[in-house]
Parts: sequence; C-alpha cells; structure tokens
Amino acid sequence: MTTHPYAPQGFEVTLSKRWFVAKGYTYETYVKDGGYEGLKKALALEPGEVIDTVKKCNLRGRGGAGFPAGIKWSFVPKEAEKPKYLVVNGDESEPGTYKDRYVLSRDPHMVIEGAAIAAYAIGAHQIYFYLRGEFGLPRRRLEAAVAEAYDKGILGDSVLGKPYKLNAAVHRGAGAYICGEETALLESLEGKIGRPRLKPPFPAVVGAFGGPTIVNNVETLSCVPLIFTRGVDWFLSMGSAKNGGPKIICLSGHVERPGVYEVPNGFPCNKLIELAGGVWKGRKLKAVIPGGSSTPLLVPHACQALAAEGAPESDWPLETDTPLDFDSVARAGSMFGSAGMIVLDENTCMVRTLAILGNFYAHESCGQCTPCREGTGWNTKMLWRLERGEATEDDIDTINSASSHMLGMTICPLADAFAMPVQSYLKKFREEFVEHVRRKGCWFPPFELSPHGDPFWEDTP
Amino acid sequence: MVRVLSQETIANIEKLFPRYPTRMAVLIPALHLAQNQVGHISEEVELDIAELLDVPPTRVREVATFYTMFHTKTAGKHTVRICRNLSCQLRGAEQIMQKAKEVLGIDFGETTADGRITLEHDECLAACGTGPALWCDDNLVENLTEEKLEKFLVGLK
Ligand SMILES: Cc1cc2nc3c(=O)[nH]c(=O)nc-3n(C[C@H](O)[C@H](O)[C@H](O)COP(=O)(O)O)c2cc1C
Ligand code: SF4
Ligand code: FES
Repeated sequence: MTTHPYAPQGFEVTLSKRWFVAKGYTYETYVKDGGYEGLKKALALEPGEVIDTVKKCNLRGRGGAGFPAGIKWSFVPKEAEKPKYLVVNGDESEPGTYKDRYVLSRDPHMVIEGAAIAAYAIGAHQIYFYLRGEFGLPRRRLEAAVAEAYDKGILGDSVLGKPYKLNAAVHRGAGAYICGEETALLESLEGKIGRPRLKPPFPAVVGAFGGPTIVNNVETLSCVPLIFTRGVDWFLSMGSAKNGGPKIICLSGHVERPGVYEVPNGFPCNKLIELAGGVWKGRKLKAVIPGGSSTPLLVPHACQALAAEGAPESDWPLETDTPLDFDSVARAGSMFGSAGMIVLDENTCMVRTLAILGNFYAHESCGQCTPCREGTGWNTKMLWRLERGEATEDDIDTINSASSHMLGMTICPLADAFAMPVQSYLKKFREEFVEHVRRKGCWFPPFELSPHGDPFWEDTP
Repeated sequence: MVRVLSQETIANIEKLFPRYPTRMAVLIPALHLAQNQVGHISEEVELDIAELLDVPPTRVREVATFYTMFHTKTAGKHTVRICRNLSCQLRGAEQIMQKAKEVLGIDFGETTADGRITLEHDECLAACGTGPALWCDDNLVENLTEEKLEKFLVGLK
C-alpha cells in the first residue's frame, strides 16, 4: 500500500501515487505498476457496458461542474454522420487550481489510459489533449508519453491488439482562461478565438468540427482506469454514493504546508487544513475559498445546513468543517468546483482579495455579453476605489446590485463566476467593506513576501 | 509566395495538417511555431500563415490579438510573465513585481532598451502552490524570493 506525506495517514493513494516515484512518468514505471490493465478490461466489454460501469460509480466531473461522466458519455448518439471526438480539458486556469499540472507531468499515462477508455466507450477514434499554453513541462511529458503509447501499441491502428483505430494529439492553447469553458475550448481547437457557444446544442451532440464530442477534465479521466482495475465497489467505498472516489485537492495561500493532497471524497475541510499544518504562523482562519476563485467563501461560523436535523445550535458544525464533496460543499453554501482551495488568514483584507480576483475576471471576459464585459470591469474599478478609500457606502450597495444583475444573464458562466464571489464576500464581510469607507481606505498589512515553499512541487525539467 | 517563414517552420506547420480535419485548426499551433522563429506575429507572418492554411488574413489577425501569448508588436528576446493572481499575491507577488521593475528599470508591458526582456503580468499560471511564480521561455520559475528573481533576470542572456 502506498501513501505519502500529502495524504491522510494510512490512506492508500492511487491518483497521485507515482508523483512521488522517480521517473514515475514513463511507460515502464506505469506498466510495472499495473498500468493499462484497466484499458484491457474495458476493451473486453461492449462500449455500452463501459458506460454503464462508469455510470454506476457516479464519477463526477472534476473540472468544475461535477456532472457525472457516465451520464454525459451516454448522450453521445451511437450513429453519427460526422466523426466523434474525445477532448481532454487540460486548460487548468481557475485560480487556485494546480492539480492537472502534476497528472500531466508526473503521471501522463494515467490520463492517456483514461482517455482511451472514454474514446472507446463513446466510439471516438481521435483524442485531443487541449493544454493551456503555459504548460511547458506538462506538455513535453505528455507528448513524450503519447509517443510511447504509439510505440507500445496503445494508440494507432489497434489498441492493445484489438482492431480499433485510435489517434491522439496534443494541442497547445495560447493564454486565455475562457478556453477552459468547454465550448470556448472547442472553438479554440478549431482555430478560432475562444468565445463560448450558445447551448444547446451540447457538445455531446455537436462538438468539435461539428461532430459529437465529449470534453472531460484531466483528473476525471485519470479516475477512469481505477474504476476498471479496482472496481465499482472500491470507488463507491470512498465518500458517498453520489460523491465517490479518490480526490486531489490543491491547497494554497495561508497554510503551513501547501501542496496537492489526495483524500477520499468527503474528507472534512478543517481536517485537511490541519493535515496541511494548519493556518500559517499560528494565525486564525478567516475564510476558505473551497473550489477555485469563483466559489463563494466558507467561514468558521456555525452552519445550520450542515447540522443533523433538529440539532441544537451549540452542536452545529462550522461552514469550514464541511465534508469536501460536491453536494456537501453546496449544502454549506458554496461549491467544490475545481478543488482549488485557498486559505485566508485573519490578516487578509477581503476587499483587496476580491479586487485582485476582479482584475482577473475583467481581463478574461471574452466580451460578447454586455453584463459580463461591463460588469466585471466596473465592479473591479469600484473595488479598487474602495480599497483606496475613495468610495462611499452607497457604492457598496451599487456593487451588490450590479453584481446581482450579472447572475444568470450570460452565454457562459464566467460572469457568474465573478458575481458569486462578489455577493458572497459582501454578505459575509459587509462590515469590513463599510469600514473601508469609514477609515478612508485599507488598514490591513500588505501581503508578506513568503513563498509557498516546498520545492517538491516545483517543475523539475 | 512565402515572405518570412523559414522552410523549417513551414515544414513543421505542414506536419500538423494530418492531425486535424481542417487546416484552420492548425492556426494556433502555427502561430506558436511562427512566433518561435520570428519573435512576434508581424503582418508578413499573418499573410504567410493565411496562405498556408487557406484562411483570410483578418482571421489570423483576430486570433493573434485574442490570445495573450502572441505578440503582435516586436518583443524582447525573452518574455517574463509574473503571476499577479490571488494565491501568488497572498504570498507576496506584489513585492516580486516591484522588484522586477526595479531590476529591469522598466514597467509592465515594456521591453528593456537592449531588447533582452519584455515584462508582462500573467494571470494564474496553475502554479499556485509554488507561488510567487513566473513563466519564461516555456518554463516556470517558482517560490520566488527577491534574490531568486534578481538572479534569474540577470542571468537571462
Ligand atoms: C469560465 C470557465 C472556465 C473553465 N475552466 C476549466 C478548466 O480550466 N479545466 C476544466 O477541466 N474545466 C473547466 N471548466 C469546465 C468545463 O466547461 C467543463 O465543464 C469540463 O471540462 C467538463 O469536464 P468534467 O465533466 O470532466 O469536469 C470551465 C468552465 C467555465 C465556465
Ligand atoms: S459570460 Fe463573459 S466570458 Fe462568458 S461568453 Fe459572455 S462575455 Fe464571454
Ligand atoms: S495564483 Fe499564481 S499561479 Fe495560480
């Protein structure tokens, strides 16, 4: 049984297992470790049976939305005029998220195997790995692994001896967060600017180059081989029936030991922070961004929604005690999203934090919807004014109402992805926003220069 | 008629055609290859690519301007992109950005007089656990301190 310092004691890691092994990224290591056995098992089944197996596990998409992968695959029409595609979303650009980077650079064969199983299940003969432009080492490692896979008969005219044509190509993006959204990604893959498409039609019916297309996140596909080697029961034994399987969570910000942790689904948020050495410098926890910068805050306050029915208030768990899985985090009022968890200590200014995020969303809006284009820019400008002490209390209400007008009004969820945090920060820290008006600016210290630290997580070319 | 792209760049672009059902899909990879050779996406580069891929030059221009990694004006030999997003900021990226300006004597969006370095901001590089971080010449430099940054910048030839 393998475990490592970035997992709970005694927990057997499977997704991040080879990240800690020298040359864990090679075909040789992967196969010695039982790699491509899952693909072998899947190929012995009918495609429909493969989909059913994944459905039984209720594997929730790890890219942000948590949609069950098996159900998505079943939307692909069996007969189609145009070729079908399996597209791997390696855009990884939700701030706070940095897990797919290691899957790609430290264990690329796992995602190739998962993608091959998915392609076979939906009847696709071409896989595209769409990687964000800034992924240097991850792209080089994946390209080398794809070449090995061709060499070893996993890709090409047959797959592990079964006559099934399967090709794969690595496609490099060029710097645009919006291309992580699946339809913008497909536009970008086709050589266009990354503007999200109106849905429907959904990509499963009309996707890349007009053909039925499944887009799945890197981590989602990495889970797939495990389903076939370890089985449905093993997968479901971690977490709950609707939220099963192992999960990798990215921790950054104010914890003692940042890094990507592997835990069973439903591992409590407070326990994870403890595992990461707690809030740094012995400081108090102010808030947690649980699932990437777009997700509302969890604060260390009693949360009725998480309590057993009828429990007295003294027994209510804190929001920051929530089990980390899609449904539980939603119950606590936020979203588990892409599991990019950012921890904020008591010295963190919430106005500044939100304004920094605002810069990002304003920069990344593709501009085709007015509420998004105008709203992200205007709100961000107001937030910086507030931080500098140039805003009034009325401005705070205007920020609140302006952001609420962005919700649900646009082609893609990017506008919501900013409006949700705005609403959440204002609701949970309104006093702090108002105090910025009263004190004519920010009184929190600047963020201290103190790198996250552990060289283990650095790219080693 | 090819204007600026080398035979090698053209061959590398053409090698990608069989991977996709359309030539247009090669546009972004082609822009990367062209920028590697020329340094930026000039008008001549746009025309060459448009011809090779059989797409209108305006389409090439539109794509080259949309994606932040492409330079449409001349840029330094190296582009240093420093992350200014939240996780890096929580660990002091602001100070790193100040230091970079000081060491290079330029502001963000500018290029050093010797044409060595263009300084840019970047949004989250997916290196949040090792921030402050920068990206340059297709590699990350992580866990930046002021000393580490200065040494790196001075070392870029
Ligand atoms: C603005 C925006 C950015 C996104 N960025 C990413 C991303 O970087 N990586 C990713 O896998 N999914 C991202 N998504 C989610 C994708 O649209 C899509 O749901 C996902 O790739 C599906 O894969 P999954 O079901 O395996 O999670 C983003 C969504 C939005 C709205
Ligand atoms: S919501 Fe924003 S990013 Fe999404 S399509 Fe509209 S303008 Fe583009
Ligand atoms: S916030 Fe800097 S790399 Fe993610």
